[in-house]
Amino acid sequence: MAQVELRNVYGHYGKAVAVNDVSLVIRSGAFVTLLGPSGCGKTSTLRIVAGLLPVSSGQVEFDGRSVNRVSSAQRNIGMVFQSLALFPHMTVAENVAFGLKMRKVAPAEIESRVRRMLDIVRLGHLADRYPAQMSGGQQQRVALARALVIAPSILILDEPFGALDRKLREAMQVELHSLTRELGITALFVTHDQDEALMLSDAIAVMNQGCVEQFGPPAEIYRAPATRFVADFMGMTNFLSGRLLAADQTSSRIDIAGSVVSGPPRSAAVTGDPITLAVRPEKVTVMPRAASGAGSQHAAVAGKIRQVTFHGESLRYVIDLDGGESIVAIEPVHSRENDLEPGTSVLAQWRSEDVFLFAP
Amino acid sequence: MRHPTPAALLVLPACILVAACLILPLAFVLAFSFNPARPGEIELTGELTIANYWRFFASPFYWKILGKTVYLSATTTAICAAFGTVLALAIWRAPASRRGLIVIVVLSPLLVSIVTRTFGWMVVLGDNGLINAILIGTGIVGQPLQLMFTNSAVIVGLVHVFLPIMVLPIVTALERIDPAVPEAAGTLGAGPATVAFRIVLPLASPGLIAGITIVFSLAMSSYVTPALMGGPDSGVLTTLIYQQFVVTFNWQFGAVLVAILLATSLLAVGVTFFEFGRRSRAWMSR
Amino acid sequence: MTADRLQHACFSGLVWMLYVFLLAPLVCIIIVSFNSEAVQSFPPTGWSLRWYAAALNNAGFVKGALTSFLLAAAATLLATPLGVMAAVGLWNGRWRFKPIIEALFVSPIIVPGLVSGIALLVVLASAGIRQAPARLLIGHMLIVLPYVIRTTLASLLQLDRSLQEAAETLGATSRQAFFKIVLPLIKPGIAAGMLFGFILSFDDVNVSLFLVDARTMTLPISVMSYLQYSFDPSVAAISSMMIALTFTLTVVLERWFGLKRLFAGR
Repeated sequence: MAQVELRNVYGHYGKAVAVNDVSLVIRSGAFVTLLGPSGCGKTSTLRIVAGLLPVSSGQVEFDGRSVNRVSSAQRNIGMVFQSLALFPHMTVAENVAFGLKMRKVAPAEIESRVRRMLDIVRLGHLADRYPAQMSGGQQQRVALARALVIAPSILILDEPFGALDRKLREAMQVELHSLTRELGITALFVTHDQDEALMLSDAIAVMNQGCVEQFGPPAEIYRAPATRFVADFMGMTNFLSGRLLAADQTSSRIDIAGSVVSGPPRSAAVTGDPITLAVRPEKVTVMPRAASGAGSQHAAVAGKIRQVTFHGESLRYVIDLDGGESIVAIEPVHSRENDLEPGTSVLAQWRSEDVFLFAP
Repeated sequence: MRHPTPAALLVLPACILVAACLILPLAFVLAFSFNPARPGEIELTGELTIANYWRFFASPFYWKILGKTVYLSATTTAICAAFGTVLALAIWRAPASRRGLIVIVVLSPLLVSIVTRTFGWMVVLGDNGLINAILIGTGIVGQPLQLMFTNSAVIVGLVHVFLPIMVLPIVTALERIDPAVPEAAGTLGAGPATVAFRIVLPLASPGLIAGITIVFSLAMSSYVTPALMGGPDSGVLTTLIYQQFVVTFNWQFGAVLVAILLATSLLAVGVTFFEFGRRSRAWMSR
Repeated sequence: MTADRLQHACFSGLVWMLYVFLLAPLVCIIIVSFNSEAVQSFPPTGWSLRWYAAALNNAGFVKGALTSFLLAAAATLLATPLGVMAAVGLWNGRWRFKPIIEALFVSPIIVPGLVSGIALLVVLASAGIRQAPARLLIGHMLIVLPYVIRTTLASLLQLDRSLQEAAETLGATSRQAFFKIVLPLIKPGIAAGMLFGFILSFDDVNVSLFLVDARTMTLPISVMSYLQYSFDPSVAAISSMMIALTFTLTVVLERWFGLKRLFAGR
């Protein structure tokens, strides 16, 4: 299993910059995901690692050796494409055997390795079928088997589960997770789905416009987003503008539309600066204003409910705040006796430790 | 029906045109071939005989002509298949900016009259033509080479005419291939030649087959190129047909020749499709 | 890496040779047409436009050109309404025997032109119709028809069917919806088919071969007859003019509709 390193890598499509000074270390045996919206450069970065997109500048190294000039056929990678790219005119067994044939492995060994791999992905009984005769999930497993049987230095996956329905998708995610851990494979995965990234990865690189905004373990990305973009992408979607009133090592005070709330410590900020406060909808609770008497640990901002929608286990409130902005709160369905109606005057509350501050 | 005029009614006039002016006449010709041969007589009679067919099949002379026609057509088709694949691959891999230009270069000869194209080859291969001028000018030969009026000249002319037609269905088949498939083969260690021969070409083979059947048919029924490039006694079926209808006025025998021409083409097409269909039914998804 | 590069270089070399092969005869014709001598020799000993003048003065060529032009125009104008109606019928129709109708409309392309021409000749002669213009017109309508059907149908298939439905829910009758919404949108396809059919009719030799007579000749057949007896550059001149015409039309067609779609049909 190889360690893959990117140092100051740039990649272009024609004149457009697709990969903008990306540096990453994918440790041997680690599962790393490139996460971001379409056009953020994650697929381009992946293709650079695979050798399908040339490096404009910077270094790509496998186990310390530069592979900039090495073709993708020589890099010993196992790649699963978004469309799977199974060879339609070859049987499942022939598809899986292809990489071994290219490496001039002896036929007897090819047969045993293919059979073993097909058993691992539970397709042994379908070895002589053609891809067109198989279901989506089965085709997925063929693509995986084909990439894994050659014992690649790194397994590269380009949004492989995008076209599957939810149930199949979840099953494949679970299978990929256990397979990669069992085989101890270095893997590079690309997706735009944050849940998928959180579930599968040892480390996530959140990308935006060709740059890596944050790289770290899933828990860190989720709980401590480094930039507003990462916060937004990971579901922390309430952004309120305010002004910083005071800040020290333990806490800060922010003025939001007339209400004063407390927040986490913030260094390198000048009092009086405009600032953005971010909080997850799941962390916001709603209290009717009539029954106010909020505890002092809860920050509170006043507003009126505009819309209520039902989502099975939760209710989602859109609240127009007095200052003009709006905030979304998501609460479990049975958290109160009487459901709140649109038009009710309320206080939106959260704990100061659930808040993140960003430059505006 | 959404449309007030039922669809069947809309289709009718064109159907009548084709049926009356193509299908019926073809049947007529077939019937005619069974009439006794009476040069000058062009009415269909009720007398049926296979004498005309017998005349054809019993004579080595006519077999020779059929053989030569098939040989020229098959050779042309094979050459077109090889070079057509090369051109199709070039179009398929060309960057989008250049592709339009290449398509025009490859396909525009199709829109120039066959007479013009054949004439062009007469200019190139003639005693005073381009090739001889180059050969004499550079001193390779002292006398002009006889390039025209040979089988090779006919083949060259036919290849030129039909190469663009071969390219088209192959390009269409290539464009149906998921571009990730050859990429995947590359990541698994295959070099460009392996990708071309083991992956791309097999997947494009339906187009190749279509092209082969079309070109063979057209080559068999080509008149202008063999007549101009091979001389008046070029010994192909089509010039023989022309003689029957325009010179000797033995229309009944001419009809036989037409029937044999059609039958040979259809036979070749049928065999190719059958063979190919058998092999690829399993993996072709609809 | 160098083995790959060598392969690429060989491939490119072959491709370029094929381009030359495809264009060389046409280029040679154009060069020869400017020759000041009577022999079509390479390289031309002098440059002159005399053969263009000679071609334009050749009664056979001029008459042939006029005949070809009128014939192509008439065939196109007559075949187009039939073809458009047939395409719309195919688009709307839900019959089980649709493939048979489609095969019927493709048959003029599959049956060799020579055979079509002969078949028409034989049937019409039997029916007593011996006038070349009538025979030619019918034969050429058969040339144009399948391509108009093909391109119109291709355009229709690309159309979102819900457009017609949307128009109807807004109050249009089926006829209005068709003429105001569908037809304007498929006009490019129809026009491409017409242009293509026109070119093929103008260029045709195989179908016309047996349908012409001494008084009514198309241009390509005129040229061919001329070629069988004489060999002077006026043929090159008239051919160059034909090449120029078709190249211009080809570029227009490629930009408008795409040559590949025209021939491939889909």
